[in-house]
Amino acid sequence: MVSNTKLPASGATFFNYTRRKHLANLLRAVCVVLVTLLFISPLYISLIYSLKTPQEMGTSAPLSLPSSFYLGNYSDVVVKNDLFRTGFTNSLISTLCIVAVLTVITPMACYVLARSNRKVYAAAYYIFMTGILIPFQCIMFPEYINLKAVGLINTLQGYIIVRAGFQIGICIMIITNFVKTVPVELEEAANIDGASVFRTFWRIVFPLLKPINVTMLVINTLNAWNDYAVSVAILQSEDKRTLPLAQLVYTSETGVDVNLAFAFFSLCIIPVLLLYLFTQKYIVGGIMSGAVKG
Amino acid sequence: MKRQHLRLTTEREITYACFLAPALILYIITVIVPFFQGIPYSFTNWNLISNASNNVGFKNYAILFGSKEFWTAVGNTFQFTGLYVVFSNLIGLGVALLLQRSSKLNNVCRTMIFMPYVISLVTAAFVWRYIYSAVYSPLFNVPSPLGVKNQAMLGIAIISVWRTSGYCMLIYIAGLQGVPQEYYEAASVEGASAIQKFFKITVPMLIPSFSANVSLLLAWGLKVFEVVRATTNGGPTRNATTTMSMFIYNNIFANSKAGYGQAAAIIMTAILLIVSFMVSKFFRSREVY
Repeated sequence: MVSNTKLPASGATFFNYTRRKHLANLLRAVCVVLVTLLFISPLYISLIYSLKTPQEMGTSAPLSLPSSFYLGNYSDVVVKNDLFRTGFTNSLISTLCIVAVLTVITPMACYVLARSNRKVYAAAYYIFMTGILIPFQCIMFPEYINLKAVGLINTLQGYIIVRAGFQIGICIMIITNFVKTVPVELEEAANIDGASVFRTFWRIVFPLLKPINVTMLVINTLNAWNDYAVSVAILQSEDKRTLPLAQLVYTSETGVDVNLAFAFFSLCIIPVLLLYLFTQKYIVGGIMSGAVKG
Repeated sequence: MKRQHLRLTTEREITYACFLAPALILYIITVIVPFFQGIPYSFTNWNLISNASNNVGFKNYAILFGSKEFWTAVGNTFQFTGLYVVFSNLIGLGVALLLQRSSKLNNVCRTMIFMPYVISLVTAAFVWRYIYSAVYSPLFNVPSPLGVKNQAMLGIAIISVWRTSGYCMLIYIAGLQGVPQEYYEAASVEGASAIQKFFKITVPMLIPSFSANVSLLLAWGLKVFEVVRATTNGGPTRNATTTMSMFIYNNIFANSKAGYGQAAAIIMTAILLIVSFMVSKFFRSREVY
């Protein structure tokens, strides 16, 4: 290190050296805080705008704190805005279903893919991996035709099936990698004791997969809650809209009450932010193992 | 004994098949089959209203290759992707270098900087749109970039960069923490400057992180859809910010030229595959270990 090679001789220069170092650290901390403020400023702006009354907008500076903690915009959105309420319900139902389906079926499949050496399963794994490369735009129209043919277009069920299906590939990749790191000995012991594969998986392996399952649960929740590309193609009637689709009313800026709009946005943001703050460890872990794709 | 063993193996194989079946079947129905259906659709003049369609051969592709609109969309997509990939990575790396060491302040700041990433792109786009028009514009007395033809793409890119930089930062922090400290110490003993250390040690050791970030962001960038739709919807002037995904969506659903849109989707997939392949090859040849 620099401090070892250039050890200062006299006390005075040593003092200078530590002072310089302190100053550098302080400067660094100031930079860090400024950058962070810059990053969260849009969130700050949406929050203060959502807490201001329309009258206040005209009088106070755009970036100032609201004079009072006014929740009228929020209650207006929640009580009066049907789009918000249907959107929220639809988003909630579809997200829960998508995540539940994925959490049950993907670890089961991954267990087989990781443990069996048979060629059939290797081929299946290959199919999953190839599918990850397919962008949704490429299958959007066939998906629409198929759902229409079975009468599931414009239904939450249709959306849930397609959204869950589209997410399978990446889940398989991540969870299979994880299962391969789980020692086989426990399963072998259970096997000798006469437990069936079914029992072994649910009683022994599934609990061991908890870290990766929670990670995928959170990532899948974010993906399903924030989805736009899939839902916009499938859910086209107003009463089936999810939250991201419901926000499209704000595409025209004229005649929109900015404070209400920001209250609406904040209400869309708050659930995911809470989820993020409570499960940060898992999201970060998931990102490190490559659990996200476009 | 042998019979029992056989019985157990069959039982095992049946359970395995049952375990794999739900995921595989759902995946084949929702991803693989539609993909193969899409190829013949791209040779038809299918529209969404009537279910009848005729085979038109390569006509859709021929029109696409001669279509100015399509190439504008491709150009816009690449312009966006360029801005998006470069700036997300530069900012992500810069912030990662700043926040590399773990301390209470740094950890809190990492959490905050990553926050935009969990918000949906649509919400982020709308928030920014109003920030541009209601805050930025009156504050500096300039029009919102989204309303100016030459700035609209930049305005959209800023939104996406804001959302993804935190993601890049996380990957780079992990990469930086993986660089052995002894390398820097050895370089210091040899009298290397900070800049030399950065380019001779940090950058080569970060190649896997660069590779991960660039390939993922390229794929995201080339698929960009919701930000554009929520901000300019292709405007401010005709096709100024239309991207490939929007071109496809508009043709299939709005213009009711589904066969044509599907052909564009096939070309988009090909572009995506070629670009990802080239990028992974580029980085693989530069990895140091």
